[in-house]
Amino acid sequence: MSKRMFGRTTIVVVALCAAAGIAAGVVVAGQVDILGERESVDQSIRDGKLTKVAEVPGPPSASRRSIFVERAGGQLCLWDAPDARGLIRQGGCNPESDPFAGGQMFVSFSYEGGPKAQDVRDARLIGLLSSSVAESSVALSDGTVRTLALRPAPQAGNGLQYFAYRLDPRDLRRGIGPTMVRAFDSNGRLLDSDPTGFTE
Amino acid sequence: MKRLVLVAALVFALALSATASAGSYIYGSTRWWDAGAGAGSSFSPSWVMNTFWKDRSKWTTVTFIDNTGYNWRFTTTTAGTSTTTYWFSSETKKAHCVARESGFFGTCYVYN
Repeated sequence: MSKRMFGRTTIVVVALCAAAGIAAGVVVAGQVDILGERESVDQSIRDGKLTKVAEVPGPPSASRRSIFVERAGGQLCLWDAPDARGLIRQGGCNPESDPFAGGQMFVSFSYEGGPKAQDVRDARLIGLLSSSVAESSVALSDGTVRTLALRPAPQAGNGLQYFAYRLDPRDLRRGIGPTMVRAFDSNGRLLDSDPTGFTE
Repeated sequence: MKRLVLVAALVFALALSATASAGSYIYGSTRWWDAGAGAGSSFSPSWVMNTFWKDRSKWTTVTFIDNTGYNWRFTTTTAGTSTTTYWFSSETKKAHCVARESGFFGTCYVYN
């Protein structure tokens, strides 16, 4: 009798666990479903072709990094990557129809280390800018401002420009990093400004 | 009793994995974000791609955190409508995302 009761209890417990597992799975799968459309865009981006714009300057000891643009899945992506072949890349995308998301530039800041500012190393700041921008600068957390050299980026699109800036390792060791990128027109008027999220 | 617990746990795990198995996993639920808000996934050696997707261009950071020194690895911050980083490594790591600006609808997810 007790054996039979245990058997029934086992069946009930196992059935309840299966139901709980399926319910939990449905919750997780529901979250994944939200990604359905996004996954197809991500797949297009993963399979897309990267076009090199320029190398990020730096000393010979620095990691070799370049700026790439990619048009895939209706997106224009700006990547900081060692080469066009692999999937080692850091950056982001905007809709191809509005690559500057209503602004005048698309900036990406990538680095190793952290989260403490003093632990950050190999930091690169790259940007793609519209033809309206005549001058661009980056404000550092020590209060200084550096001019970002703008160069044409015909590979990225007609009239587009880019900048590629590698942070000085000596500044990084002192916890100094970029806080704000600004873009100005030829009259010195501010066109766009982007905070980088870097905090000391 | 021990056997019952073991069988129950096994059944739960099998049911969960059979129902939910997929290449991507949301760890920062789809919601409105405020500056400074963040989210993190569980630790796993299989995570390779970490993305913060947004409904508009807002500054966000994505990174991986290793489980040895809890260092940030392959960090990137952009204002795009998506911010993405990759780390191909068998090291155990977690995906992490942070909103640098407020007022957008977004999701953080990671692929294995």
